Amino acid sequence: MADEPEVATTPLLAEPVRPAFFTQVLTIVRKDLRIEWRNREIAYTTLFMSGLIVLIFAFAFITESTNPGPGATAGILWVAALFAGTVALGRTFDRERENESIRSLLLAPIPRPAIYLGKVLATAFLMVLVELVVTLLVGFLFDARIETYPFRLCLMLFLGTVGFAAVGVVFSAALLRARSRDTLLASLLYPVVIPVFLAGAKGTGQLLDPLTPDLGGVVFWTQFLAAADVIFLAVGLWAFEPVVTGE
Amino acid sequence: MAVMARGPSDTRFIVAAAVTAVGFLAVPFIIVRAPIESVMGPIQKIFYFHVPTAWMLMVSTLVAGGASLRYLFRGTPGSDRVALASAELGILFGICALVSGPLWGKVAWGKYWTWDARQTSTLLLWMLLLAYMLARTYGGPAARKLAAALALFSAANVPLVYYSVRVWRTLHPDSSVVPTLDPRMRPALYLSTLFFLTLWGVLLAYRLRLERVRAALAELEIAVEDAEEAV
Amino acid sequence: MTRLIRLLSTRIAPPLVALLCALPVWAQEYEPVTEASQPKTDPSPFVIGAYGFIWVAVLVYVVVVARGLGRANREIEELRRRVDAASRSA
Repeated sequence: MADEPEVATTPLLAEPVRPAFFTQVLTIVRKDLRIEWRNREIAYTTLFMSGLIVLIFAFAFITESTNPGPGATAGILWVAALFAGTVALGRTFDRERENESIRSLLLAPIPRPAIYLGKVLATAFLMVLVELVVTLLVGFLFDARIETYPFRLCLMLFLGTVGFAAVGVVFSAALLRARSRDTLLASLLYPVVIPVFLAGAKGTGQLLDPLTPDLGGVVFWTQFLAAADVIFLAVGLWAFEPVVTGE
Repeated sequence: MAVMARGPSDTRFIVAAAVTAVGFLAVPFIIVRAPIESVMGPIQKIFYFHVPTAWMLMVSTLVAGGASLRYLFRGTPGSDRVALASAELGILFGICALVSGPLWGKVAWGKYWTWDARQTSTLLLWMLLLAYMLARTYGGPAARKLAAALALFSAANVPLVYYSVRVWRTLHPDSSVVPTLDPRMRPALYLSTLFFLTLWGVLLAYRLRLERVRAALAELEIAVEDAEEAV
Repeated sequence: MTRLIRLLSTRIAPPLVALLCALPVWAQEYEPVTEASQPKTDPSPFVIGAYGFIWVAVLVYVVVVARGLGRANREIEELRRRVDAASRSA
């Protein structure tokens, strides 16, 4: 009998090859950003809201022609970021709830930590984009020295935003089906992220000081933000699954 | 019904409560006998109650965090009850610290609230526990898990809160106040701390009892409804 | 438990309050080190206020928990009666 050519056969019930963990994370990030890119609703509304908050603070604090000092300017920037971030978080999970897509997400063979990290990175990315525009606005309106140490400023904004998102995603997911979601999210989130806010505002204030920018202090607050991010991400990775699946 | 029968744990509880009541009587005598601090004067006596209440706030936060971690991963209702009771006690002792501190501050430094590092950190921890109660009460279907996650973040937040606020401002008597304390003041402080720890334990046990009875009540209600329907 | 609460509030609290009022006796032991270190405000009401607040807060908490416990036990009794009634009529 002639040798039959070997035909490669795959067993019918072969184990599917799962993508690597970070590939799955990036899939979630790409999904969220693609949805956002289609209508840009969160980006535009949070950007507009941040701008309004900056203006409101300007009306509250500016007297005659003096600008607020670097500490107050930094505070205004971070408060605007905080409020805008809360709105963005709420809206991101609103989408999941409206289309019941959270159920599909949880049924998909993606580890929950990957969903968590994907959501955190997507939210942080959106927020950082908005914060960069608000930083330019703040620099323009209050004559703040944002151009002196742009890299350090961006790094602090990024680290602070990641810390905020790391906590916010857990609470938003838990409040998905709660009626008091809108009122409760800020009440629960802000006490936890106050150290992050404090570090960001103080560090940015030291960066924006035109006379004697305290770079030692800036390095300290940046390291503090990085440590806070590690702690919050670690807790969030553990806490996300029980809160998003438990009732 | 187990919750209503008297047992050995009841006796232990009564003994512990009696010891605490004795402490209520004994500790003020010991505090009065402690020497008067040379710089601040008699107002410093608040220290013997103020410091232990602040420590009990921290203990409550950490216990609530630990119990919440267990609840999130084992789902044991007992851990959830411990977290709730601990959080309530944290709010109770926190408010004691937040009232006694400013009263001390008013006499010692002339102002009730100075945004001092310790004062601010205590306020933040206290607000975290208030947020826990809000989450528990209004958190919707996943309220217990949400509150547990919050307690976990709060416990992890304790070093961050203390460190960041301390770098931000410092006016409080130095953090190393206990090692530099006059040795004659130490027994009063340690005894007072022991008394507050016992009080904390007794109150926790008492509060847990209420939660256990409520859980038994909820089960009984379901059983009764089923029994009445069957009839 | 209600016995214990009654004991606390009738036998222990009154002598405690009396003790608190007697505490200012230490004020007579006060000896200022220097003129500058003397407090300008009389500290007695603040010290008594601080101690008093702590004890009142703890007592209030105990009373609230005791009431909750009493209410829950009464409801359990009520449910027991309903179970007995249901099983008798069955």
